[in-house]
Amino acid sequence: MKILAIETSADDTAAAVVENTTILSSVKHTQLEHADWGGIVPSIAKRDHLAYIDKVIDKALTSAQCLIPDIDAVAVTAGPGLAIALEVGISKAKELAIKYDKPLIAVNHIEGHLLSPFANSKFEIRNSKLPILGLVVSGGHTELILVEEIGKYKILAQTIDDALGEALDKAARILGMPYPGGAMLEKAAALGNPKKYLLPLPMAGKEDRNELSYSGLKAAFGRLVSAKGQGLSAMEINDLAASFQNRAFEHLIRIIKKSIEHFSLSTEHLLVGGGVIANQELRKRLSLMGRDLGIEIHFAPMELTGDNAAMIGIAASFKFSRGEVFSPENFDKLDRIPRWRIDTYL
Amino acid sequence: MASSIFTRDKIKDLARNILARKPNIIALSGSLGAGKTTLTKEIAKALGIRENIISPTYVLETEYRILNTEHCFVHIDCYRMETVDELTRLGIKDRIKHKDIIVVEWADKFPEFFKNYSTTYVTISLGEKENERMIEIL
Repeated sequence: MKILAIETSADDTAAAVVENTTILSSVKHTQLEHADWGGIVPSIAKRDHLAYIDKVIDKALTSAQCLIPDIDAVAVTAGPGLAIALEVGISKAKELAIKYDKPLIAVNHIEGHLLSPFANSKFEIRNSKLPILGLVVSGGHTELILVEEIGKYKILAQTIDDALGEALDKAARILGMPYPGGAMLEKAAALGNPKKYLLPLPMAGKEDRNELSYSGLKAAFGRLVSAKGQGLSAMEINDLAASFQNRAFEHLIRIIKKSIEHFSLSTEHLLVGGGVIANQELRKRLSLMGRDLGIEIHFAPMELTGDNAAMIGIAASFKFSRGEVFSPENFDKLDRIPRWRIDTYL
Repeated sequence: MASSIFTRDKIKDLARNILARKPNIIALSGSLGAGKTTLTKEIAKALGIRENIISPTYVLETEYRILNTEHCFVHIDCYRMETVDELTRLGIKDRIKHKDIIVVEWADKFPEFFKNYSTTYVTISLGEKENERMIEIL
C-alpha cells in the first residue's frame, strides 16, 4: 500500500512516498534550492510553500518511480503548525485527491515524529507489551507521550514554555553563534567542561507536576554570559555551551524518569523522534537511561530527525490500516488544526 | 512612562494595566530570557485563557480563542523573521481589523510597521537582582 505524503507545517516544504513503513522517497525544498536560486534563497521565498510544493511532490514521485495513479492515498499534515503554512499542504492534498480520486489522510505532525522510528525498521509494536513510551524533542515541541496503542496517546509531560530545540538554538545565540545554532552549540559543548558553570536545574522540587521548562534556564544562562562580559575565549564558550547543554538534557531525562515513576509505568520500549535527536550527546544519555531502566530505545533514523514528509507517510500508513481516512464526500471536513494535540482525535 | 522595577509577583498587575489601555497590538521587546513569554502568559491569563501559552518562536504565530467573545488572542514571534513581509503574510492586518488582541515578541525588529496601529510598547530588561526586571511602557 503506497502513500504520497505532504508536510508544510512550518519551514520545510516536503513530500514523500512510503509503502507501509518503508520509505520510497523523501524530498525537502532545501534539496531543490540550489538549482533554482543558485544556492541562495531570497528571503521572500523562505517559508513560501506555494513556490515549492509542486516541484517537491514531482521529485518525490519520480524518485519513488511511481505516478499518482499508483498511489493508494494522499496524506497531509493537518496540525499542529502555522495556519497559513498548513493550508498550502492541505489544499494541495485535496486537489490531488479529488483529481485522482484517492482517499485523504490527515496526520498530526507530532505523531509523525513519534512514529518515525518505525521507518525502514523491523521493530513491530504488535510483538510488544503495551503501553510503550514516546518522546518528541524538536524546535517546536517537547513531549513525553504514552502510546497505549498506535493511534491512542496520552501526554505525560510537555514543555510549559520553550521547546528543547528552541532553547538550544537560543543558548547558542546568547553565545554569539548564528541562529539556529543548536548544532554549533553541540560541537562547542563536546569540547567543554559540563560542570564548569552551575546553572539552575529547571523545575527542581516541582517534578511531580510532570512539566518541562526551559525559559528559566535560558534566562539564567543569559545572565551568566552577560556577567562574563565581552571577549569570551574559545575555552569559555565551550565550557558555557557544555554547561547549558548538560543541564538542558539532565532536566529532560530527570522528567522522563520521574514520569515513569509517577505513572508507575513498566514499559520495555521508548520511541524517540524530532530534530534534537540529531544531537549525539542526547542520544548517548537516552541510551544510558534506557540501559539503567531496562528500556529499549528506538531512535528515528538520522535523516528523519528534522521535519520531513516520510514520517507523515508512516503515521498515515497506520491510520490507513485502521480505516481513518477521509473519502471525497468528506473532504470539506478536513481543515487545518494549528494547535492539534496528539491526544485529541479528528 | 519611565522604566520601573518589577518583580515576578507584580507581573499580574502589569498585564492588567497593559490591557486597560485597550491596545490592538502589544509590542514586546527585550533580550533573550528577559521575560517576554512570561509576561505574555500573564496577559493571556488576564484575558481568561486557560490553555498553556508556549513559545511561538518555531511556529511564528499561535492563536487562542478568548472565551465568550468573537476575538482571538494572537501570540506572534518575530525572532526568526527576516523581513516585515513575513509578518504581513501571517495576516496580521486582518487580525487588527478584527480587533483581536495581538502580542508581538521581538516587535522592535520592524518598528515602522507598528507605528500605524494602536500599539502599546513594552520593553523589558534585566534588573540588578535575579528576580527583578526593568519594564518600560509606552
